[in-house]
Amino acid sequence: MRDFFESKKFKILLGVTIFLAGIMAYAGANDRLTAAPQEILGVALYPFQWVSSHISEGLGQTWEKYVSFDEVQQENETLRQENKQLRDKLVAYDRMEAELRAYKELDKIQEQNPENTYASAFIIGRDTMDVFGGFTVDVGTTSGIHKGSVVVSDDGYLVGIVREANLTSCKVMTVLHPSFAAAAAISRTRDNGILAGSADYAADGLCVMTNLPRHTEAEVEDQVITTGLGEVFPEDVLVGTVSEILPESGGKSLQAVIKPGADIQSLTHVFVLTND
Amino acid sequence: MESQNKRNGILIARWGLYTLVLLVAAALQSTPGFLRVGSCKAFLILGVCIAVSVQEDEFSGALFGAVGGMLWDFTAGRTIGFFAIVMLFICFFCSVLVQLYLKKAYINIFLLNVVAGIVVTGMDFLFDYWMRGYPEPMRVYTTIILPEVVVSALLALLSVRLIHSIASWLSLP
Repeated sequence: MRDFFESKKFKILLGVTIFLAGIMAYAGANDRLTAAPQEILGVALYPFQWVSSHISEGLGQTWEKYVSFDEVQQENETLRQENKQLRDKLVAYDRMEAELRAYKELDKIQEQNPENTYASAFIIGRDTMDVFGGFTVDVGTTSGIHKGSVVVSDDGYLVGIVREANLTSCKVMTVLHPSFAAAAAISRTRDNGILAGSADYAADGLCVMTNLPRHTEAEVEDQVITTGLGEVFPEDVLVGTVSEILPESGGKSLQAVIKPGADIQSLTHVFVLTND
Repeated sequence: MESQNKRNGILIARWGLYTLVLLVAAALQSTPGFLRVGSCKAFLILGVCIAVSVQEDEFSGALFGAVGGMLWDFTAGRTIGFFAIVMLFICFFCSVLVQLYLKKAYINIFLLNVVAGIVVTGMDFLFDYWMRGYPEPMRVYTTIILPEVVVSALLALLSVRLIHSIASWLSLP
């Protein structure tokens, strides 16, 4: 063993270790998770990830079909009832929309909101040790994605934000991550707060909305949306529903526990906003 | 001369297959939903690297571990170099332990994988969770990460079998 430490091989291993420590320091100093070699690896690994994620998705769907039949049937019934309620609400909303349109025309107010553009993205990688559900998608800077692009589910619910974009892939930080923060509001009461991930609730797939006023009339099942404040997230993006309202530790405001509309841990496809 | 060419060809084929197994393991490890039981998902790269390091010598094993670690850094979106350095040392020590002190038995390799898994996940957890001040680190580690270590160590035995088969099939004359 002593011979090994005096050998050329040991010096090579030492050199490799110093080189790795160097690129780790470079990546850290430049506030980037990755460095140039990692982007090259990303391109090389992309076909393997793409194929394996599609195989896994197919196998998973087939397995789920046979194992979860009762659960699916029950879910189907619940969804039917929800659908009926939503149809009833839709009638009321249509009327309100017509009224709003009339008022707008009356006041000759024209809103110039540009249409959002989206990039379709499949999830090709998940970090096994990330308890906050972070993942990698198969679109990158070549598709118009950049750091800070907003990610939503197929149903339009907020999923997270791109924290790093490479040529053909990008990494997404989800709403469950404690470093995530977005200006949000309770849709019904218009109470503002800060939407953030929480290490306490992430394992259950929940996040929190802090800084709610103490006099808020928000209730369980109220919808939460983004306000667009700070111009990172567009306004009125659906987030999820309130599942619990608790006093914050300081006692000056309230905190709502939010159930995101998107099931973060089992998503396989998302959309990334490319016009933000 | 012909014998030397044949020898080189066998070595290239063997390491090529090792690399292919590693790439497949990296892709499967980062595949959404694959081999996931509840919140527990196995990591496969560590098992493949340890299997190669106990099959080969300490120098080759350590370098292969560094390559595997870089792949893990990439697929997990971590600062590149972190897992690479940790895996370089782990594979080096695993190889040395098997050469000097341990028999190449499944139970020993399982235990090696458990200890190595605890070291790797423990260091990652220390820097990426505990030091950031997230609450209940011990509960999260013992209920989510530790079961992943055990499941991964069990699956690593398949890697050992596969790598051993490749090495036997492509052994030097």
